[in-house]
Amino acid sequence: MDFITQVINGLGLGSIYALVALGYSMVYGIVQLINFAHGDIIMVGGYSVYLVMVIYGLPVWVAIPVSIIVCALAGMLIERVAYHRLLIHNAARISLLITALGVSIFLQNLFMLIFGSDPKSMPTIFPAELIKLGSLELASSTVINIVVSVLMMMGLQLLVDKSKIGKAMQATSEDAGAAKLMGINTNKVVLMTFAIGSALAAVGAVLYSNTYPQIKPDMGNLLGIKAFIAAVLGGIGSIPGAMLGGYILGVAESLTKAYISTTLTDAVVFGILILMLLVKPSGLMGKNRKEKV
Amino acid sequence: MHLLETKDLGIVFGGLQALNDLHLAVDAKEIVGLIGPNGAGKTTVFNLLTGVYAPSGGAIRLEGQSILGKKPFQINRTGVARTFQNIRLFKHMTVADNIKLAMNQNMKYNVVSGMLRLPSYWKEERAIDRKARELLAIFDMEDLADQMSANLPYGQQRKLEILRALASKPKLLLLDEPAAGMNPTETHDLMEVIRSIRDRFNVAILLIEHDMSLVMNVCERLYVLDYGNLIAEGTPEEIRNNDKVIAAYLGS
Repeated sequence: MDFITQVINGLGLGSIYALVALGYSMVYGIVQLINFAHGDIIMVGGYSVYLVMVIYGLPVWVAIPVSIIVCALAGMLIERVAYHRLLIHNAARISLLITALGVSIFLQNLFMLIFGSDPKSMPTIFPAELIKLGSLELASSTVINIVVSVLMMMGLQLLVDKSKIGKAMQATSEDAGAAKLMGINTNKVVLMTFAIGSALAAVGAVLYSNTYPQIKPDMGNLLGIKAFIAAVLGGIGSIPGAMLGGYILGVAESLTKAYISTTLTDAVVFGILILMLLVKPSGLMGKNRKEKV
Repeated sequence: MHLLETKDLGIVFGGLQALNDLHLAVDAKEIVGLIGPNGAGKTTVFNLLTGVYAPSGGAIRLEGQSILGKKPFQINRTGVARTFQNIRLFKHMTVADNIKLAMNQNMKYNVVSGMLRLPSYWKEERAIDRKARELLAIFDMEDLADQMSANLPYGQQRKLEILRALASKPKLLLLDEPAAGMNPTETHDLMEVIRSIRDRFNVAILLIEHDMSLVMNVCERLYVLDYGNLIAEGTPEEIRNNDKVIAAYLGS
């Protein structure tokens, strides 16, 4: 029983990784950029919730949409200010990567300047209760995390498969040059991808602050890297892959904490990444793309 | 007024003048060929016309309006569609989806009604699905609509690319070597198809082709490029007997 509880707790934690991983994966799929500033979007989302609920004292149902909108706008702004010119001039990938790291450092320091570097404790977002399922006792936050993340993934998959913008995303991801010539505004597609990915990170931020009620300017560092590992593990570019990677990572962390050692959790997480890269570099659900020479 | 007109069109890559002072005109419903030896700059012309490259000088006008400085997707929406020398379909999408994607520009429903499946979404989606299948019927490909386009044989992929270009309702269709890799029978069929497309869709066609039987049969006028320069223009009959053209193809 204890084992199952640990697995479910892991899924709850993994849900947050998964939501953030989706953003990494989508952006990579479209522009082949590993957006290292994506982790800091969670931080932006967390502070948005904090601002609305603690500073302005407004209820949670205002905080969530505000946080989603702020993050989506931040994602779009980052794309326009930092990446856009590099992308349209086909800059080297390494330049994009360094820019992403720069954006990440900028965001962390900006928020440190505004809010100070000390951690802020978050108010209750959803009331914490113990939910009993037979002999299992689960925190309500765990159940909320799992349900919300699954709904989000289903929504995203629907968006990508069925909507106009989703089809345009698939086309841009496969051959941006041809997509342009078929009348698709690929710049808009890229911008929308950043907006959607960042909005998902905002949802992740709400879930994170509900589970661990504390935020600080550098919280996006480790969370972002773990979500990135989840995306790589599942196969970067794949939506179900990102979710799967997130869950696996969460469960691995939770089980390590319970049965091995709390201090070893990060070592196990990075160990999984190294193992994965050795055995199947394209990830669990990734397509093995052959580079054309 | 010509449908398409270029004046003094040129482009320089580094120190190489890939295209020099091109004057070219295509009228509505005309079938025009652009021929020349390998490396003459034919595909470069297509890339200039569709906005992939920005010219170093000159003018391009579509129905009298300059299209210089417009982005490829904007030029597509003003009525120029193309196919590619090497097939560039969206291989991980179905045949119907490839066509629908090019039609999407004319669709009105938004993301919300798409996700919530509101009636407006279904209505437009059904209409567009029907149109896509009607287009496929032109090449007797309607039973392939739900196949992955990567699984189609080569000839049909070429045809699908032409249909995808037609789906955006162009006034001018650019075909880059439509007969490449086709056997004589397929090429012969293609000639009929090109003529029937022009008549059915009231579209002007500018095509690049190496297969001379196709060019001489289908095209009403020809332009001949060599090393980026226009060396001849005229009817197929005139071109066939032009000394400069013969020299460019056979060496002098």
